[in-house]
Amino acid sequence: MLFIAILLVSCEDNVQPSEVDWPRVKTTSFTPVNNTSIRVEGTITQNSKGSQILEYGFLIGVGGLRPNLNNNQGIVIVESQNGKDFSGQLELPNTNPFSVFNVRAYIVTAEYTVLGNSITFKISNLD
Amino acid sequence: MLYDYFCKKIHFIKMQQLRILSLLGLFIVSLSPNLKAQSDWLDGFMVKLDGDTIRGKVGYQGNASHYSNFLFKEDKNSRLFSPNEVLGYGIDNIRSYSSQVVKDKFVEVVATGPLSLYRENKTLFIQTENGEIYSLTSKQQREIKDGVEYLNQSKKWKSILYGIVSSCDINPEDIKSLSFNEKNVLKQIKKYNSCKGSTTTDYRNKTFKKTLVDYGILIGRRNSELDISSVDGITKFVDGSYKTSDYVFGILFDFRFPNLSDRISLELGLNHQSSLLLSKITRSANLIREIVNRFDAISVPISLKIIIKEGSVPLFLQTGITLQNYYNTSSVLYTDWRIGNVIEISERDRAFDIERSRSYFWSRVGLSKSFKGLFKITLAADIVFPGSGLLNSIEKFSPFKQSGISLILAR
Repeated sequence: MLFIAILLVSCEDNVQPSEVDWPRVKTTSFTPVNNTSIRVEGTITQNSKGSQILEYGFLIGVGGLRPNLNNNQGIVIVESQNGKDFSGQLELPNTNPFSVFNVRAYIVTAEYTVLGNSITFKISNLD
Repeated sequence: MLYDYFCKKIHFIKMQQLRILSLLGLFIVSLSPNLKAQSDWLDGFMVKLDGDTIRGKVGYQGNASHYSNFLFKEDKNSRLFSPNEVLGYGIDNIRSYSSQVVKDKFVEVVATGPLSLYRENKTLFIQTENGEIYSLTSKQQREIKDGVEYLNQSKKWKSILYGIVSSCDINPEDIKSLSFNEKNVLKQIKKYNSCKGSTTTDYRNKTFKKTLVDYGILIGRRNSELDISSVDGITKFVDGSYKTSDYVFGILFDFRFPNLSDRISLELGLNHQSSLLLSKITRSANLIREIVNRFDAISVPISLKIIIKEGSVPLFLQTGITLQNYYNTSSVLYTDWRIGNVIEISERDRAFDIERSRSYFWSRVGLSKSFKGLFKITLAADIVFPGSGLLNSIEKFSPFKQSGISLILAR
């Protein structure tokens, strides 16, 4: 009884339900690794239909436009860590301290490519 | 690996509620040894047919059945006694019953003296010094006067009462103005006994001296509806009706005060409910908005419970206030742009800013069935009266309506 209670309490349930057919992904955070690269983290926030995720990755773009699969200036495909959270290391397209970068997580299923929210930053603001 | 498997399974079948139930179950189990002391076996006595009084424990039954039989135990074994087996029985400081007034029935002893008063539900019995027994009831009767039908209380009991006490120079006008209740009749009996130079022993003991506690668990299903509308009347895209149906789990403690009333009790509970209000708004084939509101609430319902119809399956009404604490809330707005098979998502937290604490009035009506006095099963309909202001926004009006059914297992 005690074991079941501990197990039941310890399992976190952070995934939201959804009525849409595609899973949703969120770019959660990034941290600088060195002057030329950053580590980005993403998470699956919804997957009510239980779609199989075939690919997890991150995109980076320069300037005001949010990167997509066509206009990105850097891409990294990563292994999922636990089926929900994933992270990867991205090389910055340039080292201009005043460049504005946009980074976002994405996932690919058999039917959809889903792009998460975009996080904007400058190298000069990283420290 | 095994842990992950269990966690995924648990998530899949929405077991969060069960987690809470397990904890509540553990809580109940841990409380049980302490609560056994609050059993309904109360100190009392019975008077055998030969006049011997035996002390022991009497099973308190908070309903009309104590007029037909009673449970008594001297040691570990209990037995049900009927009126033709004993002269009477009593529960210390609560009440006593006699089998010598009405054939095959126990009646509650209200007062004794030259004139004695007994009661069975709404019927009063007066026993005179020479053993004659008079039954007093006041029934409603229809009367037609000048073509108009009136509903009157029967006045026959007043004539009977006056006939009994008239030898003590009691003013008939005093009785004429009385309404039928135990208090008024007892007052006349005390006057009579006093006039005869004797005292009246009053067996009523209207205090909170004894408190009995029932405890149990509750499983229910609640339909919730959150109506979002703009105060200024201009429709926003989030406006609409958000509906959900969720389980509620809880524990409850029912405090009964047998000295005061068999019908009224005070109930205190602790409930848990997770509500998930999901709304998908499709403005066009390319733009889909979805709002996911989640409220995890712990509530403390405090209520008065009144048995409105006694019997083997009593009907009760319960009403009070519930203090809700939304300890875990989220309100996320997802905006999805769809171009072919590519979906671009933006996400906004706190789409609605939800208040942490609210209180609501609530009511429950239900039926209970006791099984051998060991446990009780209750089926009830609940309504939580809608209260506005769940959303902390001056431009939004949001009554939160809730209704549902509950199954309660108690002892």
